[in-house]
Amino acid sequence: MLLSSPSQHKDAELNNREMTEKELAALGRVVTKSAVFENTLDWAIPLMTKIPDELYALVSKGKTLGPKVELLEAILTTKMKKSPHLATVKSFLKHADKAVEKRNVVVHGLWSPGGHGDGLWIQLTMDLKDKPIAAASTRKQLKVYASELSALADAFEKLDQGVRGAYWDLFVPRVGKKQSRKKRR
Amino acid sequence: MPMFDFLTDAQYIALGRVVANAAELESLLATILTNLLELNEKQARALIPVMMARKIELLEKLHPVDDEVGKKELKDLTRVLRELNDKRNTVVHGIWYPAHKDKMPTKRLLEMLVGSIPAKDVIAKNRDKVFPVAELENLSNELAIAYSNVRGFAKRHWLASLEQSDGKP
Repeated sequence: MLLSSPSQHKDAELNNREMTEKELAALGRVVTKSAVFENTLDWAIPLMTKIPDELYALVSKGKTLGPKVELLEAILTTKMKKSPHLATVKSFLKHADKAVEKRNVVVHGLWSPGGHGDGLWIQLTMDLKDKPIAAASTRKQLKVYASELSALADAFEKLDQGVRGAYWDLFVPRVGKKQSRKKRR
Repeated sequence: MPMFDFLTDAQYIALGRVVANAAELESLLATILTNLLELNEKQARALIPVMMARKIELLEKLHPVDDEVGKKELKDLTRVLRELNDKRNTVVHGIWYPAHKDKMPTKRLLEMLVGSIPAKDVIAKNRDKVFPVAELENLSNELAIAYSNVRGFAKRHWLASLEQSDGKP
Protein backbone atom coordinates (compact mmCIF):
# COMPACT_ATOMS: atom_id res chain seq x y z
CA MET A 1 0.00 0.00 0.00
CA LEU A 2 2.77 2.42 0.77
CA LEU A 3 3.90 3.04 -2.75
CA SER A 4 6.98 4.94 -1.81
CA SER A 5 8.36 2.85 1.01
CA PRO A 6 11.50 0.79 0.81
CA SER A 7 11.04 -2.97 0.72
CA GLN A 8 12.23 -3.51 4.30
CA HIS A 9 8.84 -2.39 5.67
CA LYS A 10 7.22 -5.76 5.34
CA ASP A 11 4.76 -5.02 8.13
CA ALA A 12 3.50 -1.93 6.35
CA GLU A 13 1.51 -3.96 3.83
CA LEU A 14 3.60 -2.89 0.92
CA ASN A 15 3.24 -3.94 -2.64
CA ASN A 16 5.50 -3.63 -5.64
CA ARG A 17 4.04 -0.45 -7.09
CA GLU A 18 6.76 1.74 -5.69
CA MET A 19 7.64 5.11 -7.11
CA THR A 20 11.11 5.23 -8.61
CA GLU A 21 13.89 7.11 -6.84
CA LYS A 22 13.96 9.62 -9.67
CA GLU A 23 10.26 10.33 -9.18
CA LEU A 24 10.66 10.60 -5.42
CA ALA A 25 13.55 13.04 -5.81
CA ALA A 26 11.46 15.15 -8.18
CA LEU A 27 8.63 15.10 -5.63
CA GLY A 28 11.11 16.28 -2.98
CA ARG A 29 12.19 19.12 -5.26
CA VAL A 30 8.59 20.27 -5.78
CA VAL A 31 8.22 20.42 -2.01
CA THR A 32 11.36 22.50 -1.40
CA LYS A 33 10.82 24.88 -4.34
CA SER A 34 7.19 25.50 -3.42
CA ALA A 35 8.22 26.14 0.20
CA VAL A 36 10.75 28.74 -0.98
CA PHE A 37 8.03 30.33 -3.15
CA GLU A 38 5.71 30.48 -0.11
CA ASN A 39 8.49 32.01 1.95
CA THR A 40 9.04 34.67 -0.74
CA LEU A 41 5.32 35.52 -0.68
CA ASP A 42 5.56 35.84 3.10
CA TRP A 43 8.13 38.63 2.88
CA ALA A 44 7.04 40.17 -0.44
CA ILE A 45 3.34 40.66 0.37
CA PRO A 46 3.95 42.73 3.55
CA LEU A 47 6.55 44.81 1.69
CA MET A 48 4.29 45.35 -1.33
CA THR A 49 1.34 46.36 0.83
CA LYS A 50 3.39 48.12 3.52
CA ILE A 51 1.60 46.03 6.12
CA PRO A 52 3.63 45.55 9.33
CA ASP A 53 4.96 42.00 9.71
CA GLU A 54 2.90 41.44 12.87
CA LEU A 55 -0.30 42.36 11.04
CA TYR A 56 0.59 40.13 8.08
CA ALA A 57 1.24 37.29 10.51
CA LEU A 58 -2.32 37.73 11.79
CA VAL A 59 -3.85 38.05 8.31
CA SER A 60 -1.99 35.04 6.93
CA LYS A 61 -2.37 32.82 10.00
CA GLY A 62 -3.58 29.41 8.91
CA LYS A 63 -3.56 30.46 5.26
CA THR A 64 -2.11 27.96 2.81
CA LEU A 65 -0.21 28.71 -0.38
CA GLY A 66 -3.36 29.14 -2.51
CA PRO A 67 -4.87 32.00 -0.48
CA LYS A 68 -1.46 33.70 -0.39
CA VAL A 69 -1.33 33.61 -4.19
CA GLU A 70 -4.84 35.10 -4.17
CA LEU A 71 -3.50 37.95 -2.02
CA LEU A 72 -0.67 38.47 -4.51
CA GLU A 73 -3.18 38.47 -7.34
CA ALA A 74 -5.24 41.21 -5.66
CA ILE A 75 -2.11 43.29 -5.05
CA LEU A 76 -0.59 42.96 -8.51
CA THR A 77 -3.79 43.40 -10.52
CA THR A 78 -4.62 46.54 -8.52
CA LYS A 79 -1.13 47.90 -8.97
CA MET A 80 -1.09 47.13 -12.70
CA LYS A 81 -4.71 48.10 -13.41
CA LYS A 82 -3.80 50.78 -15.94
CA SER A 83 -0.55 49.28 -17.12
CA PRO A 84 -0.05 47.88 -20.62
CA HIS A 85 1.65 44.92 -18.88
CA LEU A 86 -1.52 43.84 -17.06
CA ALA A 87 -2.02 40.89 -19.41
CA THR A 88 1.51 39.61 -18.67
CA VAL A 89 0.89 39.87 -14.94
CA LYS A 90 -2.43 38.05 -15.26
CA SER A 91 -0.75 35.30 -17.25
CA PHE A 92 1.93 34.97 -14.55
CA LEU A 93 -0.75 34.73 -11.86
CA LYS A 94 -2.65 32.11 -13.86
CA HIS A 95 0.53 30.03 -14.01
CA ALA A 96 0.94 30.47 -10.25
CA ASP A 97 -2.64 29.28 -9.65
CA LYS A 98 -2.13 26.18 -11.78
CA ALA A 99 1.21 25.35 -10.18
CA VAL A 100 -0.26 25.64 -6.67
CA GLU A 101 -3.23 23.49 -7.62
CA LYS A 102 -0.90 20.80 -8.98
CA ARG A 103 1.41 21.12 -5.98
CA ASN A 104 -1.50 20.43 -3.62
CA VAL A 105 -2.43 17.28 -5.52
CA VAL A 106 1.21 16.17 -5.59
CA VAL A 107 1.67 16.70 -1.85
CA HIS A 108 -1.71 15.50 -0.56
CA GLY A 109 -2.88 13.14 -3.29
CA LEU A 110 -2.55 9.39 -3.34
CA TRP A 111 0.16 8.12 -5.70
CA SER A 112 -0.83 5.12 -7.77
CA PRO A 113 -0.63 3.71 -11.30
CA GLY A 114 -2.80 5.89 -13.50
CA GLY A 115 -3.80 7.93 -10.45
CA HIS A 116 -6.58 5.44 -9.68
CA GLY A 117 -5.73 5.17 -6.02
CA ASP A 118 -6.76 2.21 -3.96
CA GLY A 119 -4.75 -1.02 -3.87
CA LEU A 120 -7.40 -3.68 -4.42
CA TRP A 121 -8.94 -1.61 -7.18
CA ILE A 122 -5.61 -1.66 -9.01
CA GLN A 123 -5.18 -5.39 -8.42
CA LEU A 124 -8.61 -6.15 -9.78
CA THR A 125 -8.12 -3.92 -12.78
CA MET A 126 -4.95 -5.45 -14.08
CA ASP A 127 -4.63 -3.27 -17.14
CA LEU A 128 -4.04 -0.27 -14.87
CA LYS A 129 -0.81 -1.76 -13.55
CA ASP A 130 1.16 -0.58 -16.54
CA LYS A 131 -0.20 2.94 -16.42
CA PRO A 132 2.24 5.70 -15.47
CA ILE A 133 2.17 6.61 -11.81
CA ALA A 134 0.18 9.71 -10.85
CA ALA A 135 -1.15 11.55 -7.83
CA ALA A 136 -4.86 12.10 -7.81
CA SER A 137 -7.20 14.32 -5.86
CA THR A 138 -10.80 13.21 -5.78
CA ARG A 139 -11.71 16.56 -4.23
CA LYS A 140 -10.23 18.56 -7.10
CA GLN A 141 -10.83 15.87 -9.73
CA LEU A 142 -7.27 16.40 -10.89
CA LYS A 143 -4.36 14.09 -11.69
CA VAL A 144 -0.67 14.94 -11.85
CA TYR A 145 1.70 12.41 -13.40
CA ALA A 146 5.13 11.72 -11.91
CA SER A 147 6.63 12.71 -15.25
CA GLU A 148 5.37 16.27 -14.64
CA LEU A 149 7.17 16.70 -11.31
CA SER A 150 10.48 18.09 -12.59
CA ALA A 151 8.68 20.69 -14.71
CA LEU A 152 6.55 21.61 -11.71
CA ALA A 153 9.64 22.13 -9.54
CA ASP A 154 11.13 24.37 -12.25
CA ALA A 155 7.85 26.27 -12.48
CA PHE A 156 8.03 27.14 -8.78
CA GLU A 157 11.58 28.35 -9.19
CA LYS A 158 10.45 30.66 -12.00
CA LEU A 159 7.43 31.84 -10.03
CA ASP A 160 9.71 32.68 -7.12
CA GLN A 161 11.96 34.73 -9.39
CA GLY A 162 8.86 36.39 -10.87
CA VAL A 163 7.62 37.56 -7.48
CA ARG A 164 11.06 38.87 -6.53
CA GLY A 165 11.25 40.67 -9.88
CA ALA A 166 7.76 42.10 -9.52
CA TYR A 167 8.63 43.46 -6.11
CA TRP A 168 11.80 45.09 -7.39
CA ASP A 169 10.27 46.46 -10.62
CA LEU A 170 6.91 47.62 -9.33
CA PHE A 171 7.31 48.44 -5.66
CA VAL A 172 10.87 49.66 -5.09
CA PRO A 173 11.03 53.43 -5.80
CA ARG A 174 13.25 54.49 -8.73
CA VAL A 175 15.37 56.67 -6.44
CA GLY A 176 16.16 53.65 -4.32
CA LYS A 177 17.24 51.72 -7.39
CA LYS A 178 19.52 54.53 -8.60
CA GLN A 179 21.13 54.74 -5.17
CA SER A 180 21.57 51.01 -5.13
CA ARG A 181 23.29 51.12 -8.53
CA LYS A 182 25.58 53.94 -7.39
CA LYS A 183 26.54 52.00 -4.29
CA ARG A 184 27.45 49.01 -6.40
CA ARG A 185 29.75 51.17 -8.52
CA MET B 1 19.67 32.55 -11.17
CA PRO B 2 18.75 29.15 -9.75
CA MET B 3 17.84 28.82 -6.11
CA PHE B 4 20.41 27.32 -3.82
CA ASP B 5 20.09 23.59 -3.47
CA PHE B 6 21.37 22.30 -0.17
CA LEU B 7 19.99 18.79 -0.41
CA THR B 8 21.67 15.86 -2.11
CA ASP B 9 19.79 13.55 -4.49
CA ALA B 10 19.52 10.94 -1.73
CA GLN B 11 18.02 13.52 0.60
CA TYR B 12 15.52 14.62 -2.05
CA ILE B 13 14.51 10.97 -2.45
CA ALA B 14 14.03 10.67 1.32
CA LEU B 15 11.98 13.87 1.31
CA GLY B 16 9.80 12.58 -1.53
CA ARG B 17 9.27 9.36 0.39
CA VAL B 18 8.12 11.27 3.48
CA VAL B 19 5.64 13.25 1.40
CA ALA B 20 4.23 10.20 -0.39
CA ASN B 21 3.96 8.15 2.81
CA ALA B 22 2.27 11.02 4.64
CA ALA B 23 -0.20 11.38 1.76
CA GLU B 24 -1.06 7.67 1.96
CA LEU B 25 -1.58 7.91 5.70
CA GLU B 26 -3.79 10.95 5.20
CA SER B 27 -5.74 9.14 2.52
CA LEU B 28 -6.27 6.15 4.83
CA LEU B 29 -7.63 8.45 7.57
CA ALA B 30 -10.01 10.00 5.03
CA THR B 31 -11.18 6.51 4.01
CA ILE B 32 -11.77 5.51 7.64
CA LEU B 33 -13.71 8.72 8.35
CA THR B 34 -15.77 8.19 5.22
CA ASN B 35 -16.64 4.70 6.45
CA LEU B 36 -17.35 5.78 10.02
CA LEU B 37 -19.67 8.52 8.83
CA GLU B 38 -21.17 6.27 6.14
CA LEU B 39 -20.68 8.93 3.49
CA ASN B 40 -20.84 8.51 -0.22
CA GLU B 41 -18.05 9.91 -2.42
CA LYS B 42 -19.77 13.25 -3.00
CA GLN B 43 -20.56 13.72 0.68
CA ALA B 44 -17.01 12.75 1.64
CA ARG B 45 -15.57 15.34 -0.74
CA ALA B 46 -17.66 18.01 0.93
CA LEU B 47 -17.36 16.94 4.56
CA ILE B 48 -14.00 15.28 5.20
CA PRO B 49 -11.58 17.98 6.34
CA VAL B 50 -8.62 18.79 4.12
CA MET B 51 -6.12 19.31 6.92
CA MET B 52 -4.53 16.25 8.53
CA ALA B 53 -4.83 17.77 12.02
CA ARG B 54 -8.60 18.10 11.59
CA LYS B 55 -8.84 14.52 10.33
CA ILE B 56 -7.09 13.28 13.48
CA GLU B 57 -9.37 15.40 15.66
CA LEU B 58 -12.47 14.08 13.93
CA LEU B 59 -11.25 10.52 14.29
CA GLU B 60 -10.90 11.00 18.04
CA LYS B 61 -14.36 12.49 18.38
CA LEU B 62 -16.13 9.90 16.25
CA HIS B 63 -14.50 6.78 17.62
CA PRO B 64 -16.97 4.07 18.56
CA VAL B 65 -14.50 2.39 20.93
CA ASP B 66 -16.01 1.44 24.28
CA ASP B 67 -13.37 -0.64 26.04
CA GLU B 68 -10.63 1.02 28.04
CA VAL B 69 -7.82 -0.80 26.24
CA GLY B 70 -9.13 0.39 22.89
CA LYS B 71 -9.50 3.96 24.16
CA LYS B 72 -5.92 3.96 25.43
CA GLU B 73 -4.70 2.51 22.14
CA LEU B 74 -6.55 5.21 20.19
CA LYS B 75 -5.15 7.93 22.44
CA ASP B 76 -1.60 6.69 21.86
CA LEU B 77 -2.22 6.35 18.14
CA THR B 78 -3.55 9.89 17.71
CA ARG B 79 -0.70 11.28 19.81
CA VAL B 80 1.79 9.64 17.43
CA LEU B 81 -0.19 10.88 14.41
CA ARG B 82 -0.06 14.45 15.73
CA GLU B 83 3.69 14.23 16.32
CA LEU B 84 4.26 12.84 12.84
CA ASN B 85 2.02 15.49 11.29
CA ASP B 86 3.98 18.22 13.08
CA LYS B 87 7.23 16.84 11.71
CA ARG B 88 5.72 16.41 8.25
CA ASN B 89 4.55 20.04 8.26
CA THR B 90 8.02 21.29 9.14
CA VAL B 91 9.51 19.14 6.38
CA VAL B 92 6.97 20.24 3.75
CA HIS B 93 6.55 23.92 4.62
CA GLY B 94 10.02 24.61 5.98
CA ILE B 95 12.93 26.19 4.18
CA TRP B 96 15.94 23.90 3.85
CA TYR B 97 19.28 25.47 4.60
CA PRO B 98 22.56 24.69 6.35
CA ALA B 99 22.22 24.60 10.12
CA HIS B 100 24.48 26.64 12.35
CA LYS B 101 24.20 28.44 15.63
CA ASP B 102 24.59 31.99 14.32
CA LYS B 103 22.13 33.87 12.16
CA MET B 104 23.67 33.58 8.71
CA PRO B 105 26.82 35.65 9.19
CA THR B 106 28.68 36.70 6.07
CA LYS B 107 31.26 33.97 6.47
CA ARG B 108 28.56 31.34 6.47
CA LEU B 109 26.85 32.98 3.50
CA LEU B 110 30.10 32.81 1.55
CA GLU B 111 30.49 29.22 2.56
CA MET B 112 27.01 28.59 1.20
CA LEU B 113 27.87 30.27 -2.08
CA VAL B 114 30.90 28.09 -2.63
CA GLY B 115 28.96 25.02 -1.63
CA SER B 116 31.19 23.71 1.12
CA ILE B 117 28.41 23.10 3.62
CA PRO B 118 28.26 19.47 4.73
CA ALA B 119 24.95 18.02 3.56
CA LYS B 120 24.35 16.31 6.90
CA ASP B 121 24.00 19.69 8.62
CA VAL B 122 21.03 20.83 6.55
CA ILE B 123 17.76 21.53 8.38
CA ALA B 124 14.20 22.51 7.53
CA LYS B 125 12.92 25.48 9.48
CA ASN B 126 9.27 26.46 9.64
CA ARG B 127 8.44 29.21 12.14
CA ASP B 128 10.01 28.02 15.40
CA LYS B 129 10.27 24.36 14.40
CA VAL B 130 13.34 22.68 13.03
CA PHE B 131 13.82 19.29 11.36
CA PRO B 132 17.27 17.83 10.58
CA VAL B 133 17.77 16.26 7.16
CA ALA B 134 19.35 13.16 8.69
CA GLU B 135 15.97 12.32 10.24
CA LEU B 136 14.07 12.12 6.93
CA GLU B 137 14.54 8.39 6.47
CA ASN B 138 13.35 7.75 10.04
CA LEU B 139 10.30 9.90 9.48
CA SER B 140 9.29 8.01 6.34
CA ASN B 141 9.68 4.74 8.28
CA GLU B 142 7.61 6.09 11.17
CA LEU B 143 4.89 7.16 8.74
CA ALA B 144 4.89 3.68 7.20
CA ILE B 145 4.54 2.08 10.64
CA ALA B 146 1.80 4.54 11.63
CA TYR B 147 -0.04 3.63 8.43
CA SER B 148 0.13 -0.02 9.40
CA ASN B 149 -0.96 0.69 12.97
CA VAL B 150 -3.90 2.87 11.96
CA ARG B 151 -5.01 0.28 9.45
CA GLY B 152 -4.70 -2.49 12.05
CA PHE B 153 -6.59 -0.50 14.67
CA ALA B 154 -9.36 0.34 12.24
CA LYS B 155 -9.68 -3.30 11.22
CA ARG B 156 -9.82 -4.52 14.82
CA HIS B 157 -12.13 -1.91 16.26
CA TRP B 158 -14.19 -0.27 13.58
CA LEU B 159 -14.26 -1.51 10.09
CA ALA B 160 -14.71 -5.20 9.67
CA SER B 161 -15.37 -4.53 6.04
CA LEU B 162 -12.10 -2.66 5.47
CA GLU B 163 -10.13 -5.82 4.77
CA GLN B 164 -12.63 -7.00 2.20
CA SER B 165 -12.88 -3.64 0.48
CA ASP B 166 -9.17 -2.84 1.04
CA GLY B 167 -9.98 0.66 2.17
CA LYS B 168 -12.28 1.58 -0.67
CA PRO B 169 -15.48 3.09 0.71
